[in-house]
Amino acid sequence: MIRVRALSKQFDAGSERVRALDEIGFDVESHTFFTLLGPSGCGKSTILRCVAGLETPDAGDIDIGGEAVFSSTRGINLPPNRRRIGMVFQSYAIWPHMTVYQNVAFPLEVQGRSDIRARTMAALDLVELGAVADRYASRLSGGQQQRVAFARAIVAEPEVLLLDEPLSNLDAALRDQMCSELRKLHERLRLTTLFVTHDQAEALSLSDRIAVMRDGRFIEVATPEALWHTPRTVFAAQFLGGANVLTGEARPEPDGASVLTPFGVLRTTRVAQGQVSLFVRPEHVALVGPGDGVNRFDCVVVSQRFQGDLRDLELRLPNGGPALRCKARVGALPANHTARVEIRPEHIEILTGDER
Amino acid sequence: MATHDLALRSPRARWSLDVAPQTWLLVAVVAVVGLLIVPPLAILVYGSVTDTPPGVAPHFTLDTLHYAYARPRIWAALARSALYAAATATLVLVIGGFLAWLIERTDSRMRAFADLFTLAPILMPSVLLISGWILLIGPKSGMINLVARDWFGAAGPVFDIYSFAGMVWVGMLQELPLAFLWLWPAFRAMNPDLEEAARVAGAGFLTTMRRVTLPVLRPTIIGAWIIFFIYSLGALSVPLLLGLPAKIFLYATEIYLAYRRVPSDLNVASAYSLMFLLVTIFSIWVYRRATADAARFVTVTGKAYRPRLVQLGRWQFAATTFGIAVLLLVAGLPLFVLVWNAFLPYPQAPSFASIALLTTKNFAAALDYGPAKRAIVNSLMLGAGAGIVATVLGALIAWLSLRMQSARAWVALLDQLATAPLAIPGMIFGVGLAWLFLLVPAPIYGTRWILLIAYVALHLPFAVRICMSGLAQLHPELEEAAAVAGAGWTTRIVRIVLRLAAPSFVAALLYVALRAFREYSASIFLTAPGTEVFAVLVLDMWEGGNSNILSAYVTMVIALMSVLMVVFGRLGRRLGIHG
Repeated sequence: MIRVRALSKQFDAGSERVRALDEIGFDVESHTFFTLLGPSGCGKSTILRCVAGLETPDAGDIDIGGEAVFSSTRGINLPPNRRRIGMVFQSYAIWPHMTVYQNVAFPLEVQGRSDIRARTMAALDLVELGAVADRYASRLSGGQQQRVAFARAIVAEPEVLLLDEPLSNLDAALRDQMCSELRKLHERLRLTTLFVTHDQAEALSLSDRIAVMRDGRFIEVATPEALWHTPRTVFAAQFLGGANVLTGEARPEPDGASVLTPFGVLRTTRVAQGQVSLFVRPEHVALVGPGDGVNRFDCVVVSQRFQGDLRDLELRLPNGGPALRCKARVGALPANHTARVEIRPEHIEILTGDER
Repeated sequence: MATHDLALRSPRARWSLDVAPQTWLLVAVVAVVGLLIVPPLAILVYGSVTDTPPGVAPHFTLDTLHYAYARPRIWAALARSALYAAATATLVLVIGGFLAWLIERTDSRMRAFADLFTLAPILMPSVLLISGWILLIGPKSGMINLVARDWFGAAGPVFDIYSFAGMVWVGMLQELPLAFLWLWPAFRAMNPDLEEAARVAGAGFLTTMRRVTLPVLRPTIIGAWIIFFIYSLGALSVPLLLGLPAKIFLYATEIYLAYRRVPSDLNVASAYSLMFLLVTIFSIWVYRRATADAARFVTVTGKAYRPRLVQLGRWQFAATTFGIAVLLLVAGLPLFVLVWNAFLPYPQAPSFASIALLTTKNFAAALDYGPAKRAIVNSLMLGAGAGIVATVLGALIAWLSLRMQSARAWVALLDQLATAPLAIPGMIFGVGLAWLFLLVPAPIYGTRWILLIAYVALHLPFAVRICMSGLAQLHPELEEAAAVAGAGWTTRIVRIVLRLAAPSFVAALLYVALRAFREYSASIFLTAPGTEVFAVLVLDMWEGGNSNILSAYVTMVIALMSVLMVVFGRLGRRLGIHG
């Protein structure tokens, strides 16, 4: 497992000091897959590199498998080569002067392990690269290099596996495929894994738990399901899936609440009172036929983007006001088309988290 | 496109692995480089404010400075030097820039020439180029003048190399390949979209050149002009070989004469050198100012551009002729005249009669000439030694400055120290080193060691730069991956860094060795009987010897160098190939 406490780090950015990490603390339970998700510059890679020992935090504590590898108070800072970690780098960092076999065997060799040949071949077979063991790694395709990097990271049976945006250099189709292979491998090996990405789809499909980050802080930590269905913060709701966030005054009702929003009074099945933020996923904004009903109102289609399976619409009330994003399975709509919209009460969630 | 976190923004600002041992190494390297560079320059100040020779109890006085700078003669020499350097730098830049443009941005099909320009200065070190041109247009026995007399009946010499124009001419040819190599990458890296955007906006070819191309390249051009100004100012071979016989005294000549005077006046030589150093430092300051906002002119993005080539059309032939002519001037003709003279008993124009006179006696005579053989052995040894030492030091410096961003102040200091010799004229360094080791009670003065020190210090910036370009291509993650895999610092350096950057280290070694082999402007102050080096010996031979024996001597050396170059080139390429 990984235990991180009060991790802080500052960088010089020109004249000013930038807080890259602000008192970060979290646990990665043994055998689980933990993801740091956030926009570029949020500090997620810095955490990973601090855990790896490639960067030195200003303050905090890091334990790996129960052993302190960094502690600013106790003056501990183990170099990376003594932290029992495996890591897949963004660039893969495959050594071009070595064969695939030599690359994968390297950790075993420098750690003075036995059974190098058997273990190396086992790792290569695991990623289905046994056949190209004697090829120079630089001659492989991107996807294959990635597998070599993965085999090299796990061959010495590390305490934890660190993945630094390993899929970001692959093209879309390959990324999908590697993503599901990565999940399968994790289910087989059950290595404690810390994964860094800016891609919400990767995070949702791979992780046991996700930490959403911004500006060097954790905004929200939750399981993928919880993060998607019941996020607590505006940032998490919008970063994952680009949800509509509305604010309004809520009044309790017997079966939930009614909220006065710019789109009129909307009913929700959630309990709420006072000033609240609520959110609706774009795919829960439905286009319906004429007729009255709960949470139904008319909107004008301001713009539309065809996305293959769905059409991404930007809607506004006829007299203007804020925009509402809607993803619906509809054909092309005429310009300034007026559509009737329905949001079912059970699809309106209340954001409970406080946020800066 | 991959996104980068704060920490990843620049691949340089990333490494802080077990800092302690490397910090210690960094400080040690700073100390070594500092000791190499600073004392020989600092001693010049000491020499200028005393009037006692080394080894005598110093007598501090301002008389030396007064004596040195009170005479109008020295100021006239300085003005003449500045004029010479400005003329040379301007010419070399215009012609070199035009050549770079022709090769990189037009369809002149002269790309093959680019390699030849790289080779030319290696085959034709400065002293040999000057020797060749003396044999071509020397007033008495220059081949072109002889041809004019014998074939066309000219009454007197058509050209006289012993003139200010002659000096500028040879000085310009001597730096032309370098100027080309300096400017070529700029044309290469410049984003052609900038020019194409201007063309699309409606600008014609000349307007684009004037409003976009030249302004974008402005920092490069100004920077190059200053560098070549400094080089020309500090060059010693042209003032000695051409200026001295013509009684045209440049500032460099005055330093040399003060040193060579009997008894040698090191104090005055130091005082003169000090002024030279100040001029150089000032020029560097201007250079920094001119290129400081170079970031504004981001032309290099690491992207491989495929620029649209300018169609030369009917100028194609003229361009090729121009390229060939330049090659002939910087290497072909001087090489030919040296080899031709090597086989002749005395200089003469090519004719059927002269073919009958061809002889190989000169070669035997050259090898018999006092220290001829010894000088070659010395130069080869010193070249190899300087290459090895400078490369080891340069590779360390490059690695430390790329990977030790956590100790920024030390790295900046190291960078300043290691690049300083680029701006220090060799002769000033030579004077300083001579002083230093006459003072320091170590058995270094008059031995090969003092030459080795000079060569290492003077060529360190090149070694650093070549190693740096190799190391910069190594993604830091390659080393980090080894660290994570469990490898310690030594293992990482030996098994990853050394292996991957080996080709650039070999290149640095060869480059420094070649430059050290023909170094003359520091050597001239540091050689002693027994430690003669090749380039200085050639200068000596011009003073007392026979130009045909000299030709035979340098022909042999050129042949030897060519063979060595081919052998090491093969070796280097084999090292560079893997997988």
